[in-house]
Amino acid sequence: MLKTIGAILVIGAAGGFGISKALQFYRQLRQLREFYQALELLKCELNYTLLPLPRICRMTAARVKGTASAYLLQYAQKLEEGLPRTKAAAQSMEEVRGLTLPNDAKMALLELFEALGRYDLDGENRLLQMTAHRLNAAMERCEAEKKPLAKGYAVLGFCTGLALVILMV
Amino acid sequence: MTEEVRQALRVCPPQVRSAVTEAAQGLTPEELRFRCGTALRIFAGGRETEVPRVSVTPELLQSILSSATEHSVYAAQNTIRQGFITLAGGHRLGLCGTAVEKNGEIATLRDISSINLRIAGQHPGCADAASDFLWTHPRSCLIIGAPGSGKTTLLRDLIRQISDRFLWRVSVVDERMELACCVGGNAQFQVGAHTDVLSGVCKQCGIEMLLRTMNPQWIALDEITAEADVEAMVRASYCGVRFLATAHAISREELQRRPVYRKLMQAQLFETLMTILPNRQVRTEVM
Repeated sequence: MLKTIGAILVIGAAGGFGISKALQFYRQLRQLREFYQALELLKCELNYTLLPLPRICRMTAARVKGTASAYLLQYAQKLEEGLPRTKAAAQSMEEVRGLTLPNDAKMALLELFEALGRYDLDGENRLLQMTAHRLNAAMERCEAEKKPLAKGYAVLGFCTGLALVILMV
Repeated sequence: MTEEVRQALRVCPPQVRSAVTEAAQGLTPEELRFRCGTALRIFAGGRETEVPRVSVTPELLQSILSSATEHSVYAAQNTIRQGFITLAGGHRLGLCGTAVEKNGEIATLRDISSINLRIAGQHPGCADAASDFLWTHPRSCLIIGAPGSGKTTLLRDLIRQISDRFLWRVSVVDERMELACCVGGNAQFQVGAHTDVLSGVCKQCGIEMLLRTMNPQWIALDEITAEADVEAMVRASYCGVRFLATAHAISREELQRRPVYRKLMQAQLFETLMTILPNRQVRTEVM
């Protein structure tokens, strides 16, 4: 009886680990979509209101969800505290909890928020457009990788659990 | 140190703020002069006092600029092109640097070399006599004086007084956001309870918009500089609206020497001329 319970626990733990890794792909994709939407809104607000960056970030944060909203709020707060853009962008990226973006998307966002506000409207639009393209590419890649990799990680987790049980028995 | 100075100093880094606070004891700073490669200077009471603790570097100028625009150059691009940034509280940063041209127009200023932080202040009551005169002679009024003589301050108090004391409907075209300095819709200076402010719009367009929408008895504007402004004012005067305005000239003779102002005089738009004399007294005459 104990052996059976132990085996179930091992398989469950390893399988759970595999599933959580698999879910990460879905989370990444969701966060990428949130940031992509935030960039679109940021662009609209910027072109229409021409308000200073911290206020635009707060307005956008109120209209998007999840980590994108948390990041924008954090970034706006740091700018208002007087931090330079580079530090504000990097620190906010570190401090937002649950941010699991792929590295290329993270790089693209960091580069954007380190430079946003430095140029005239035309320059800002180009910068936002370029980052949106990069996020889009990351989304397409994640979308393509999501199913096979997620499935792979889940199966690998269960198989590892099963193998451990067989070895222990 | 006055509250206005403290407010204006918010764009400076903390070490500059503390150095200025220390050096400006007993002074009423009117301007802070940041010139790259030299020490910071405080202009007060007609002379400049050096602050040796603060040496002005390109990084310091950049940091002030960044703070003044709230890290958003695009938001202040139109005024940076003209060499200034308006701050909350009505204070103003005057900028010098190297102009970057695009299609024959100044696109921006790079390599900022000097910043002049002009501290704005409201002097309620400075237009007491001028407003009394307007009550008895309610005709369009032009205020002239040398640069820095206090034309805008006088105009601002005049607007406040005719709005609050005489209950006249006043509309302000605040092109450079110096008169009322609206932030988030709230005027940072007292301009009266019967005053409507249109900010950030050119005078010509502003006059037409206000005429169509706000039914003003008076329109106030600062610094007439272009022929288009004069033409718009003349057109509006046919509708029965009266003007309060300022112009850069130290005397009536100088006013007549400048082509733009000559046109203004020929149109006989203004019937009252107020001249701010070097001793800050106001001489009022009927034209």
